[in-house]
This record gives sequence, C-alpha cells and structure tokens, in this order.
Amino acid sequence: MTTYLPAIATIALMYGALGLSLNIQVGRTGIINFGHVAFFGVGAYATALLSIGGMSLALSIPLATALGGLAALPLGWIAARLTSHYLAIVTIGFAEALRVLLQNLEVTGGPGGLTGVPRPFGDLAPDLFAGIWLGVAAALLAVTYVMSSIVTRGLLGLNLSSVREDEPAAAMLGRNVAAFKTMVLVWGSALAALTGACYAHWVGFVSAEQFDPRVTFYIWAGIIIGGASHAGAWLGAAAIAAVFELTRFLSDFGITAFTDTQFASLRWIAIGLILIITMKFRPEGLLPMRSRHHLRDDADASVTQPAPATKGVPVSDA
Amino acid sequence: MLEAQNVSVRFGGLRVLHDVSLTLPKERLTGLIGPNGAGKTTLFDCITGFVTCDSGTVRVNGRPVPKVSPHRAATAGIARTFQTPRMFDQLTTLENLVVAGSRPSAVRALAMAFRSRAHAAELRELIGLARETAEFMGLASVLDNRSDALSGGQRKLLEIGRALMRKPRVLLLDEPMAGVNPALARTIAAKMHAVVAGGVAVGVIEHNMEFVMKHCDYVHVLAQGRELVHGTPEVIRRDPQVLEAYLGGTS
Amino acid sequence: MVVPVLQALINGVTDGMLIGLTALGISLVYAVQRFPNVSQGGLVTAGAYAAYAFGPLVGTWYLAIGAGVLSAFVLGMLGYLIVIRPFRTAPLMTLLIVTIGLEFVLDYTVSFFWGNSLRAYDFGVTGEFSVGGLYVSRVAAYTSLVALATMAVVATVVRRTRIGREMRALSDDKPLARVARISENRTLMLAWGAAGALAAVAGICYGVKSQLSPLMGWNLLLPSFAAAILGGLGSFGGAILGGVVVGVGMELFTLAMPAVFKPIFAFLVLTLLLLVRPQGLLGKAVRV
Repeated sequence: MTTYLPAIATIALMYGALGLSLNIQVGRTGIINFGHVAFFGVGAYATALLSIGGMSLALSIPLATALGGLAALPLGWIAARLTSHYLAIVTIGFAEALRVLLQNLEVTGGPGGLTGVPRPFGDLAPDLFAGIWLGVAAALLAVTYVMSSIVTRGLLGLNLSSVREDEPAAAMLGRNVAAFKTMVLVWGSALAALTGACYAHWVGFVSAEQFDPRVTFYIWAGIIIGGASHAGAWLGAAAIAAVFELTRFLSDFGITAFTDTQFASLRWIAIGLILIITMKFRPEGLLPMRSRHHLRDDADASVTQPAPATKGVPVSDA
Repeated sequence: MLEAQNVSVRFGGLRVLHDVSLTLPKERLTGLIGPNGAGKTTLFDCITGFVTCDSGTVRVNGRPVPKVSPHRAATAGIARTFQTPRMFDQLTTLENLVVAGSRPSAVRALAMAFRSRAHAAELRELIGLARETAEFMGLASVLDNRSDALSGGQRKLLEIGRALMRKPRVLLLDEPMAGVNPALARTIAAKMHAVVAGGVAVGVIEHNMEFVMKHCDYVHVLAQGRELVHGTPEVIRRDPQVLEAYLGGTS
Repeated sequence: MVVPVLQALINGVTDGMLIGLTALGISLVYAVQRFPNVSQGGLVTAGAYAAYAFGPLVGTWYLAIGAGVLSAFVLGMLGYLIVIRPFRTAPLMTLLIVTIGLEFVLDYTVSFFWGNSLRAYDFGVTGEFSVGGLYVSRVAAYTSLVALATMAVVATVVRRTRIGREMRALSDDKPLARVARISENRTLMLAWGAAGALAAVAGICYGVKSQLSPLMGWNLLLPSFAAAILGGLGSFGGAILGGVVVGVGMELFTLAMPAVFKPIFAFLVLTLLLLVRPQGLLGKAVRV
C-alpha cells in the first residue's frame, strides 16, 4: 500500500487545487456552483483530444485551460439572470448535460472514453514517475493558489466580497454584479480545467465517469469543512480526497467487512452526512471568513492596527 | 440635477405609480413625503433601476439614465441608501468605504490585480478618501470594526458615507431618520446640508414632518401612487389635501 | 411519419406521468417550505427499493407496493424530522446543500444494501395493447392509470381535507397560518411524508416499467425539476402538466436525436424556462 501513497497524495493535491478554484466562486463571491466538475472534465477531454491529435502538451494544456474558462461564459450569462438557488440547479444540470455529451459523442470516445493520452515521464521507473507527478501536482496547487489569491485580495477581492455580501448594494455602488460573477466563474473554471488537463496526462485516459456531476460534491464537502479561506479550502478538499482514496485500500489491511462497492457507497454516505452535519455548524452558510485579509498586504500599516474597542464615540445612539 | 418625468409603474394589475414627476435640483434638499404605500420607495427603485417603470424617463443633468440597471444608474451619478441599511456585513467600516470608492469596472479591477504598484497607489488614495469620509460621518472610531458589529445608527451613517464615496451628482436617501435618536438625527441633518452645499442634488423620503418642514427646500407629496401637491414647506404645511391624505380620507 | 410521432406522444405521456409524479413531490414541498427539494430523487429510489425488499416478505405484489409506499411515507417524515427540521429557518442555500446531502445518504444506502446492478420487480405484467399500429405496453398503461389515480388522491386531499387546507394556508401566507394556529411543524412533516409516498409511487411505477437502480431517482431529478418549474413551482396541476410536456418533449427529441441525449433536452428546457418564464405555465409570479 505504501506504493500507492504518492498517487494518493497526488490526487489529494489535485483535489486541493479544485477546492481552491471552487472556493473563489462559492466562498468568496457567493456563487453557488454545483457544476464545477464539468470544467475539470472540459480541461481533461480538451487536452486529451488535442494531444492525441498530435499537439504538444505545451500548447494543448494552455488551450484546454482557456477552453475551460470559455465554457463557463454561458453560466456567467445565466448567473446574471437567475437568483442563486436556481442558478445552482442549472449548474448541476449543466454538468449532467456535459457528462451525457462526453459519454455519448463519437469524438469523445463514447462510454469508453479516450485512452492513450500522452503521459509525460511514463517510461521512467514507477517510483520516479510517481515522485515527479507528485511534484507536478504540488506545483499545480501552488499555481492555483497564486491565481486564486490574485482575484481575492486587494480591491478586486473587496469587490467580490461586496457582491457576495449584498448584490443590490454592490450594484447601487456602480458594480456590474454579473460581470464580476462571470469573471470569477471563468477564472475558477479555467483553473479547474488546468487541473483536469494535468489529471488527464497523469492517468493517461479520460472517461465521463471521472467527471460525474456528483464528484463536485466531494469538493463541496471539502470546502465546507475547510471554510472559505484559501488554506481551508485546499486543505479541506485534499483531506477528503486523501481519506477517501485511502479507504480504497482498506481491504489490503484485512478489513474485509464490506465489498469494494459497499465501501464506495459508504464514502458517498459520508459525503452526504458531511454536507448535512457541517451545515448545522455553519448556520449562516458558507461565510465564516474574516475579512481583514483584503487590506493587509498593500495598505499602510495603521490600517491594520486594532481599532478602539469602544464603538461610536461621536455618535452614541443605541 | 435629476429629472424624473411621468413615471408610471404597475405590479400586475396594481398601479403603484401613476404619472409621477420629480425634479431634484442641484444644491437643494428635496423632501418626498406621503402616507405608507404612496409609492415613494417605488419611485426611488424606479429611478435607480431596481424596478422597471412602464413609462417615463429619468435624466441626470439632461442625460437619460438607462432603465432596469442599478449599476448603470449609479454610473450615471445616482447614489442611494435603502430603508434598512444594506451593509457588506463581513467587511469593516473602512473596507465598506474603500470598495464603494473603487472604480467599478470588473475588467479594470482584474487588470489592476496584476499591477501591484498601481494597485497599491490606488488603494492608498482610496484609504485616504475613506478616512476623510469616515471622519466627516463621525465613524473614525469604528474604522476597523466589522459592519455587522455597528449600531443601527452607525449603519445608517456608513451607508450614507458609502454613497458619498461615489462622489454622486444625485443622492437619494430612503428614511434616513427612521429609528434614529434625536441627537443623531441632528447630526444626519447637518451632514445633509453639508452635502447639499457641496453641489449635490439630494432627495429624501422621510416621515418625520418636523425634519421635512425645517430642513427641506422643496417638498413633493405622493398619495396612492399619484403626486398630490408640491411646493415649499410653507405651502405644503397649509395645504388641506396633505392633511387629508395623511388621515386616510382620499379614498 | 405520423405513426412515429403519435407513438412518441404516447410514450411521452406515459413517461411524463411518472416525471409528473416526481415533480408533484417537489412542488408539494416547495409549496409549504419554498425551496427546491433535491432529495426527492433519493426518496424515489428508496421507495422503489422498499417495495422490492418487501416483495418476498409479504408475498403478494399489491401488499409489497403498499408496504413500499407506506415506508416511503414514514421515511419522508423521518427525513423531515431528523434532517430538515433543524434547518427550518436556515437560508435557502443551506437547505439546498442539506437536501443534496440527504439525496446522497438515501441513494447510497440503497446501493450499499442492494449493490449497483439493475434489478426488476417480478409482477408478471407483460404484453401490450395495440391500436392501428400504435403500441402501449400494458405496464405503461397500468402505471399511467396508477399515476392518474394518485394525482386524484392528492387533489382530493389538498382540496377536501383539513391537512390539505392547512398546507394551502401555509403555502399562501405563512404568518397568517401561524396566527390561525396551524402547526407548521406537523404540516411540513406530513407534506414530506406525502412527498415520500408520491416518490415511492413514481419509483415503483418506474421500476415496473423498466428497472430498479440506485441511480433511478437521481436520473429522474433533472426532468422532474424541469417539469416542476415548467408547471410553476408550488402548483400541483402544473407539475403533472409539466411532467407530461417534458416527457413528450423528450420523446419527440429522440425522433431527431439518440435517446441517450434526453437529459440534454431536459436541461435545455429547464434553463430556457428559468430564463424566459420562471413562474412556469400555471404558477404565480415568483422571483428567481
């Protein structure tokens, strides 16, 4: 089982990256996106098709990333027109519709998916391969972290928070709420597609099952547990993925009370319970983050000094 | 200057506003009064694009304001507050003000995110402006408090401050005095006069007659979706229709 | 040309009835609680498997169906009491996430005990009716009759009984219903029970028509949401009508496209509808 550890760590880091890219939408902007995995899939299929067609990975991966972002544009357009819970239903439907397409179109290999996706470092020794890809996954996480932070700090981050906190008020301050939402949907989806592209080249094949709409809720469970900070989001998503991947090997330890299918079911039951129970401790929803981060980096030092504890000295109304 | 002309709004079969016109001249404080359900807030909603008006036009300094789009109404120079203050709860007072003052374009904000030096300069400037505004509104001591921890009165002040950060041409205030103690009400009134003196056209919905009569330069009275009368406070005070409307005798 | 279209209409109507039943459950909960219940799919699956499990125990198929519907009724109420009630005053989004969690718990509890392979009831209903080149399988005919009968029962309960009046009161005006001393808790619990029972009827009919799988309820969710929104969320007649329209639409869609693409049609209907006419065909105006 120790031979699987690098692979489990790799998948955990990739899920961590997905947690980050989902969190900038959900935790930071308040967009309820239940279709995140669709963009993970777009990235994976896009780079698979392009690279099988002979394109160099140096080109196919960036293209897949861009395509993932573009695929989110229609959702942005819809997000401008629906309140969040209806958008949420549309995003699940979007992911399901995409899965159906990928699973049944000839060009995407039908139910069998696409095999023979180029695997860089594939001819190295297995240990070396695993080690290098663990490094790639760590780099991917780092890139995603930086790209997520860029949109959530400073003035842009403040703007996203204002959209999350109160859309009418943000609009009345001149903010085009739809434009901000679209931007974050595109940004987060492109990052998810980048993760998908890396994933495809790591495992060497893609199939629609890997991108089942329900997989989104793995990531959701992770960021709900982790809270809306970047660190919480990636750690939460990575932890869930790691624990769940580890349970695949329980039978290797002689824990054979259940079949593999039953273990799979138990994992999903656990996801369901996590979604329910964690929400109980987050009555206000997904917004447990502190907001000071926005102005810390660039502002002058006095801004972050603690404020006087007394409120309303000049204006002492009740 | 804001001119709303012949504004009509229907909700289903219900006529909420019927051919109402409102002019808010520059450097004047204009009051909008009327019994509950007269359509005052709906008129503000219509001017700011939260409600679609079925007919009528809104102009700021002669330029038409696009309908059904609060952010474009805001870009045209209109700022407003809401009956119940709408805060960005998890942001501090300072952050509320800074975000209000920042340039609203999403594309520009994204571009700035990659230009740390320009961004830092812009942020410094906004923080300076936000501090001045907080000083002016009497919120300097709660700059770093989260806005959901502010008192009701402070939230009202912050909401006005946030609107001022936009440097508006027109400021619409929806019941700024409601639920506010007399001392704070005097403070708010003083701020309003200062804003008006600064060249802004201010419109205020208010139930506090004493305030309206004492501070407003001009008053419009709405009842049941129609404009009843308009005139200086002296004229309004003496108009028998106004008293009748408030006592519910018009139907 | 005419025959295939007519045949598609027939298939669409019989499928649509079952979509409508599922949509009816969604609409019922929406009417009293004002949120879209995603766990309706899990109730469909659980109800269908409950009847399957009771089959060998009770011997006769009608008893098995009765036991399945009854256990889904209880399951719906338990789901409300244990999972939903603690979140009754929570924001809409929280409820949405919680019902997704409940959906997973229900679906995968079924797959835990019965596995993922397809199963079938053994009710021995085979054969078909044919009129002038058009076919209706006997199963489709019977399930449609059951669906119609169920709708009639729901309509009667909602219109004629005290609990139905209380549900409507709660749906129309919550504060007023509270003043009238309607027990919100009890009414919601019964609404969830009814949603469970409806889900079971839909699930059992669906299982009789084709097969049972742990995914059956989840797969019904997309067309059912399309149907519920098409009919106007909270409108009971609308849910059925919406179901039939979506069912027929999906069948007509398969005249031009492979049948596997049906969910795409449901997705397009759902999305376009929300954008164009969110209040649905029969619904009152709602803000989306």
